[in-house]
Amino acid sequence: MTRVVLQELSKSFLRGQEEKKVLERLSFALEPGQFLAVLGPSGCGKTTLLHILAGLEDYQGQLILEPRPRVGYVFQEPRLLPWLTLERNLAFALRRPDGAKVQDWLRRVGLGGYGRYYPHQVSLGMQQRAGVARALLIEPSLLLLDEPFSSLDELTAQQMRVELQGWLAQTAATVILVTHNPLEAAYLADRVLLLSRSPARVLAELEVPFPRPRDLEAPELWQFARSLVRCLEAGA
Amino acid sequence: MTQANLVVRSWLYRGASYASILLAWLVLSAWLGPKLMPGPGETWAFVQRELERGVLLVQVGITLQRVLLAFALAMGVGLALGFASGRSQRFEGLLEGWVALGLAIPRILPIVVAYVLLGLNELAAVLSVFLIVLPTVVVQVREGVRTLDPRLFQMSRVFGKGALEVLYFVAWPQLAPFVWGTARATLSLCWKMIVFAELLGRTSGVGYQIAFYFQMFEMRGILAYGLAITVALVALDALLAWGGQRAGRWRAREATA
Repeated sequence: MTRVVLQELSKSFLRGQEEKKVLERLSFALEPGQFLAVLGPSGCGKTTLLHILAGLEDYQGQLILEPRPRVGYVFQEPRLLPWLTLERNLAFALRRPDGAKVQDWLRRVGLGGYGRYYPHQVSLGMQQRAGVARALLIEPSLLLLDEPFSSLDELTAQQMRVELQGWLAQTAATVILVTHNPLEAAYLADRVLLLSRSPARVLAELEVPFPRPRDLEAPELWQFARSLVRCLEAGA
Repeated sequence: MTQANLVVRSWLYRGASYASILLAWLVLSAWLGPKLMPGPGETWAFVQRELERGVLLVQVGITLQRVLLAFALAMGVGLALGFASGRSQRFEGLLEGWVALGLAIPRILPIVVAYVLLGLNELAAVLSVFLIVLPTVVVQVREGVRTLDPRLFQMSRVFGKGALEVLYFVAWPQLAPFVWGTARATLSLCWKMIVFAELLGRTSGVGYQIAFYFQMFEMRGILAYGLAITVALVALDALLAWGGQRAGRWRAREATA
């Protein structure tokens, strides 16, 4: 499990001669094992934040990840290697081959009989399940979820949100979920960080006041989600 | 239509294509006469005679050796330069002048210049052909590298994959169809240029034999040696085409999904 601390973290990109600021002095801390949802409008820099946490981008300011994390990452799209079967895609993430572990995770995400299938032979939802399994089977200490259900139809996404809760209960990872879906944030996270439009600043940080397991149909969850939207609108 | 029928039909078309070449040869031979254009039978008899003398295989072997040497050099260096220029704009900029020059220059020029500077020897022949084909390899590999999916490299980095694993599991499968395609084009260009270099300045190889029979005005010899090296290289090309098909299987699977 990893402790995450951001202090005055900023990020700019050079667009031609112009410097475009994407993240502006973000500060927050996340204790080991906590689940944080980062909620903000499209294009506000949420994915950039995850890229920084995964070590894919440089930044200004301070970022503390203690101890050094083993990062699992679920991307917006499955990002499987099309020339490898699903089981070999999962094995690719491992440092040492472990067929039993791969099969175990394939079963856990409901892909038990599909290990020898190629990504194009299964549906997008199944590919995304394989993407989730790939991120979880390495036993990450920091799990980054980048709008993992945004490319799926709502029915499949809903089902996977429920299943994700169960899968996450089997890991002890610190989790950061990036989303623009307030209900998803309220359903899955312990805390929600609201970001403004680009350049992203922290608008508010809220505890999700519901015990687990949560019910997606619960009116208070919907109410909380609506309050998140109001906060975002007020910030905008 | 079943898959088997499609395969049979495809082979029939191929057969018809080769048969039409043979027919055109026969018609041309009948029209121009055997002195100017010997037919397939007379050419085959000449091939047999050269085989019996033990000359043909030796000469084809010499040419093949030169072709494969120039080909291996061009593919090795071209892959490295193409990969580097596809990944780095700075390197591409540095190389651009050389590539543009190499593509624009008349192909005979490097052969002539190499013979003048280095003498009429093996080094000049192979080196000049290597230089002629190198820009084509660089450009084709560079274009292949540009199609690599950066998101897959990102994914590999996140999961802590090392350079060799990334090269083998992520880069190579995407690049392989381009490399095999480039290899076919390079081999084809190499052998044409080597035969030309032999014709201009060597005393062995198929090019030299063609020049020799040209001076003797012996069309059977010209056609026999031309045909022999063509057959050898068609076989090599078929091997490369097979490799290319295997390397591109995942793309085909995706396309038909």
